Order: sequence, then structure tokens, then C-alpha cells
Amino acid sequence: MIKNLFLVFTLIFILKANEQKFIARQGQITFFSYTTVENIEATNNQVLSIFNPESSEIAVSILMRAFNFEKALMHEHFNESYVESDLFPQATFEGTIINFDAKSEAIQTRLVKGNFTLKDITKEIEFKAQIARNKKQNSYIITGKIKLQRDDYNIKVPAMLRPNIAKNIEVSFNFQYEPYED
Amino acid sequence: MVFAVLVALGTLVYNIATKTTSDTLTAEVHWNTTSGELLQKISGNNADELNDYLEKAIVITGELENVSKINGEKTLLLKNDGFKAKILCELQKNQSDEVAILKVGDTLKIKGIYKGHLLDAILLNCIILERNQP
Repeated sequence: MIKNLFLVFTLIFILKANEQKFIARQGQITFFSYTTVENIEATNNQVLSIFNPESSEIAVSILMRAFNFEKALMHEHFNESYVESDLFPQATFEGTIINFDAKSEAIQTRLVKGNFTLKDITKEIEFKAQIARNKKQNSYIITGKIKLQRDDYNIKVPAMLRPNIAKNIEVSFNFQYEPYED
Repeated sequence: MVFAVLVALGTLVYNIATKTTSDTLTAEVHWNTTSGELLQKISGNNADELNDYLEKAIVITGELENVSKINGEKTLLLKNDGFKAKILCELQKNQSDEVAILKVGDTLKIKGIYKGHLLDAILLNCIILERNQP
């Protein structure tokens, strides 16, 4: 319930002004862990994001259980041991795109700064993103990559499995936004 | 004898480690509901009741609003019956033939693994059990 309230407050924060907002109900996030032992990849195609081009604010909410893994055992370890989805069902990001021009139709590569929260641990992060506006369809696409440190978010990996999980996790994202009718 | 036990153990460990996600068709159904009933729970004060169904198979009957294809994965969106929330059912990979004949407005009975909700209810590994045209 507390997590849901957080989501509602986040959305209120970003929807505060009477401006056109955009929603991606099916954003994609893929994470990659590369090690010499094995490569692990999982994708979540149901990530929620709200984008306000006028204020350059962006909010993202990720349901941790909704990642697809190739192997059932990887899915089980991820949810039960590493991210503890029962206790921390969502990860969130709230941030701002720096120097974003809402009126430009050119693809803009911009720095995004904000707070990423996973397992109740919030860290300030910044990363590059590409923002494309399709004026005709009144839509936006935001894509990019982030590197997250496994140890920053209290992800405990048993000693035996440490060689299997990278310390730096590469995360790529792709959000396709359409107008959000409030 | 020892060798046979070691081989059996090795096979067991290998099978567990390489087991792919199970087929939704054979999963036990924990709730049989409608899209309206599910969305009413999400939108109301009793959303926490849905935690009982996390990672379990549920069956939903509802009207098809759209089929989206993202990243090669197909997702059914069920109509929201006046609610702001929707139901997103990401299909199991073996559903290509079934989804090809779907039309907006079809009434579908879908079985999927309930993963929780953000604004919308999210189910993965969905299969289509029944389709009725309007």
C-alpha cells in the first residue's frame, strides 16, 4: 500500500501543472549482467512512465516481478534473493532532462539527472538519453543506457554465485509516450 | 552404484538450472474473474487483496481493446470499463496463431500469471482460452 501511495504521489508531483503530459504504459527496460561465467539478460515490457515535456520532468515505475528471464531459476533468484520483490515490489526513478527543448523536432541527446530507488535505497544518478519528438503523431520516444552498481542497492549475492553476477549492471530503456488524458 | 547416484544428481541439478518458464496452460487457476471486477479492486481501497494472487495463475474474461507488439512480445489490452486503469496481458510465445485472428471487440477468456499492478494490472505468460466475436 505504501508503495502504491508513493507511485500516486510521484504522479501527482509530475502532473501538478495544467500542461500536456505523456504516458508510456509499456516501456521497456532490459538489464544485462556480463561475466566470464555466464551472461544474464532480462526484459520488462510493462514499465510505466510519465513525461512532462514542458517541465522536462520524468517519472518511471518498474514492477520488479514483470521481468522476463530465459530460465525459471534466474527469475526465482532475482525476485526472492536479489531484489526481494515481496518486500520491494517496485523500483522508481524521478528526474529531469537537462536543457531539453520541448519544441524541437530534432533528436536531442541530453543529460538526465534524478533519483533512482531500488530496495528502498535512493541514489542520485545521471545518464544520457535520446529524446525524439514526432509532432505529427504527438508522441515522444526516449531511449538510453545506464550503468548501475550492484553493491549500491544492497543486492546480496551468495559467495558461490558472485562470479556469475556482474558488479556493474547495464540497463537499457526505451519508452514510447502518447498523450495522457488526465 | 556411486557413479549412478552422481549421474542422477548431476542430471537433476542440470534440469533445475536450465528449466525454462513453465507453461501457463498447466498452472492451477487461483481466481476466475472479469476485467471489470479486477479493475474495480485496483481502483478501489481493496487493492491489497490482490496480493494473494501474486505469481499465481488467474483467468480473466474481458473485451479486447488492442494488441500491441513491443520488442517482439505481443500484449493484449483489455477494455477498461470506464476505469483509468487497463489490463495488460503479455502473451506466452506460443500464442502467435491465436493472436493472429483476434479482432478488437472480441470477448476473450485469458489465463495468465498475475504480477501486480502499477496504474494497470500486469499479467505475463498469458494464453487465450476462449474467443467470442461480437
